[in-house]
Amino acid sequence: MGKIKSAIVFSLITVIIAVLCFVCFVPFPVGWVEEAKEDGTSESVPFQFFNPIINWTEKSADLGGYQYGDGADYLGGSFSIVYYPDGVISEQEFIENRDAKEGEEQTEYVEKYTPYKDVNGRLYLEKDTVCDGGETPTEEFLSSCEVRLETLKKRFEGLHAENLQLEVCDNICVRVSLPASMTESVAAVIYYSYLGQVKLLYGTSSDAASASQILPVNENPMSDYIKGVSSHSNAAGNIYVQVSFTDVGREVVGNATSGASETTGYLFLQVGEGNTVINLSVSERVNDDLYISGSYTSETANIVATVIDTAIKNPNSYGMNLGNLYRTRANFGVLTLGGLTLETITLVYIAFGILFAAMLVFFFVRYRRLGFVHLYTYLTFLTLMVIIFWAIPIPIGVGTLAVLGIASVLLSVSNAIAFEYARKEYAVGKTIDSSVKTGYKRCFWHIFDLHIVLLIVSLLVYLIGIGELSVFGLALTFGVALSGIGTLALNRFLWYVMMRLSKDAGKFCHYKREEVEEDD
Amino acid sequence: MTKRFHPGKGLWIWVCVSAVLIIAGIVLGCLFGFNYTADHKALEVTYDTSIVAGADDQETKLVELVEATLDKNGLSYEKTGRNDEMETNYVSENGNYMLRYVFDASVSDEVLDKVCESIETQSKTIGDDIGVSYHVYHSERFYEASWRGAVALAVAAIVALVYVGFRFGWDSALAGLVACVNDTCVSLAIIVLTRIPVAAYAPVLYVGIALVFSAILWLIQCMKMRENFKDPSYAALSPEEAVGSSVRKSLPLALGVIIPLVWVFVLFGVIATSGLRFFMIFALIPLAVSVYSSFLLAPAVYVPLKSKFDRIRSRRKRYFGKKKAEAQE
Repeated sequence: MGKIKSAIVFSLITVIIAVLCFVCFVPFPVGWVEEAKEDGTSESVPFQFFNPIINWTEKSADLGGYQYGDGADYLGGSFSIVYYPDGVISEQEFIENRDAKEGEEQTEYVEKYTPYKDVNGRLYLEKDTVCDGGETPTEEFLSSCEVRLETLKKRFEGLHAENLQLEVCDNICVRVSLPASMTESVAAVIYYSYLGQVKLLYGTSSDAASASQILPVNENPMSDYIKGVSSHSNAAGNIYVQVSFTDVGREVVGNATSGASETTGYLFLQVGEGNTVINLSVSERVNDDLYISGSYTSETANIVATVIDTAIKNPNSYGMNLGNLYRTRANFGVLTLGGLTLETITLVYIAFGILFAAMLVFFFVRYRRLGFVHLYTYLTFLTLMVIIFWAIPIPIGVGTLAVLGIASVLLSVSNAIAFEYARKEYAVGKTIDSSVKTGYKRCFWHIFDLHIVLLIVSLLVYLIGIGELSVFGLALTFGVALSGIGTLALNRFLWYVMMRLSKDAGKFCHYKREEVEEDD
Repeated sequence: MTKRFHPGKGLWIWVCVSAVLIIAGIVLGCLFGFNYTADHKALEVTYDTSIVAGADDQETKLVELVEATLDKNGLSYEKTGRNDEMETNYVSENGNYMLRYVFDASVSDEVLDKVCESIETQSKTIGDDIGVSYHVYHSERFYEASWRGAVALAVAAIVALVYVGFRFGWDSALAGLVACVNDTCVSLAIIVLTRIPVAAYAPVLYVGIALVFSAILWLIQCMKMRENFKDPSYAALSPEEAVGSSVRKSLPLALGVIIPLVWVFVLFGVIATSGLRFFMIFALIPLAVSVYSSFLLAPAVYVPLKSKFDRIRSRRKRYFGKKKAEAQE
């Protein structure tokens, strides 16, 4: 490649990397509005901003942040909610209800509840439901709380969501935090509150209230009729919920739906009192398992299947009420330095900036202009990582940041190894082209082995692990792959292009020949 | 420094060090488990849109009041920012908000009661509908994530070491396997022994990080050994001397990996706030353990393995050489 071609390619690459960096990291105003000032004049104020990709990437509960502009959305964070057992309310709800009543009605209401001070939290218990008329919760109630907790744990664990938290609140309630990045987090929160007996109803009207119960029969447990409920997707990508009947269950449902070919019938699967989870029309006798598709996503199908399945396998008649749903922001909070308040994500940017500067200092001091080759490779790696995080999406959190650090070190070390091998070759008298070629040839297997082993580890961790570890594995897979491609392909190509622009390639790389003593 | 550094020696010392740590970790782990940051208390202050939209920035005044009261009572806390109450039907904000401050479980209930009362009384000047309460929380753990994580890491380690076996020989793979197992177990043992507070997801991630570091550092040793052992001067050395010399020579490259990693974890740990800080700072434990095993334990394990495998290789070479000679005759 000649000098002119190299200059053109170099300019093109510079423009591409600059655009990528801009799109990924730099917010800028795209719309202005005139705003009147106190002195009667007006000034242009930006009101619309271009949000860089880093702002669009999903952030886990610990690293949420705002997008730019008016009415900007908050990205990341989590949704949290408290599940109250039947007969338990928060102090806030108690006060609100009490204050809404007057006179005798208020006195009756106050007498109905007792504060639950045993756990030092602020909850109110309904005496008749929870305390058997007394002041302290009964043993039966406390054991029912454990059943509720176990059921919720089973349900939420099945989501395999990263950054999912489940906490017992004041010994009897359960607080759940789900990542806001999960599309159906609110649906999960609502559906998972359904406890109680599972019923299958059949009727000829689409209104569940007019349908009659066909399963379970004679107070037998539902597990006698339904083996399990699961979600699947077929080869065509259709997602469906499968209700697997036992032989007895299939016979009962078949008999109940025998008239469906003449008059369209409706099947309703309910959990607890009147909570219809599945509703489907039937136009012929049901002789097999039910395969229900439609508007399910993999998340909703999983949620629906989990609710029914856990309710069948853990039958109980307990109820739960939902507290207020909150969108929770950055869990790890803010740091206040004097008058300056910094969110976690800002602090992460600062830390990353320092590391980036330290890396550049090392490369530019040791290799001078060759440092630009590494800089270009690194910027490409970084922007592609951000684009991948956004596109997949992979939420940026503690594990992902650790991966970014590890992959950045891997890329930097691999590039430094390549530079050092070429330096050795150049020192013994080879031309710079030959040094680069031989250097890469000598270090290829070192770099390849390092990357392939890490790729195997990260890919398997992603495929087998769940939750945070799976996200860590996925991010590491991309990080290692990009690092490998960056070092072995892009870095070499950029080196080749940039070297052509320099008159003295040896000086460009800050390489020196070994001094050889000449014979007299 | 390198003159006093004798890698490849003292196998039993390193085995004992690791064994003591692992056994102590198992015993303490069985008795007390990890020091999960499971229990905490949270002060919750609820208010509505009249405070946010009201004049004179009432919300800021409320935040200042709460934080001043907490400071006055000597409470250190983690602030989770403003939480927006959402309508479950439409997932849209309904104009109610909550401030949440998280404390260590050791904060006494008397103090929190006092704080609640104080905030309740003083907040009347800001608005009427401000609710103050505190609750006790206990984090639950999901066991499926732990066992699936353990299986994932075990499978990943074995598959990666099969690759190492093919590329660098089975003696290297076996020593690498010892290093990986040691690093993951010792890292967990140290976390248990030092009672470091960890989040529910942290142990399995630390094991993952230990495995990654272990693989990187042992691979560096394998690469260097293969490169160095080609040097004719190594042929005259005993396995112990050869391994020791190679490990010493790998020091600059290994430090080139270790130092930037230390920088990454220290800087993220020092600058970022609490949750991230704890995770990143304590991620130095698996890194330190990997350094120990790749420079001390694994080379010491590798020396007898290399001797044994070298003997097998030379016997096989002689056997095939003989066969070849016979065939040529």
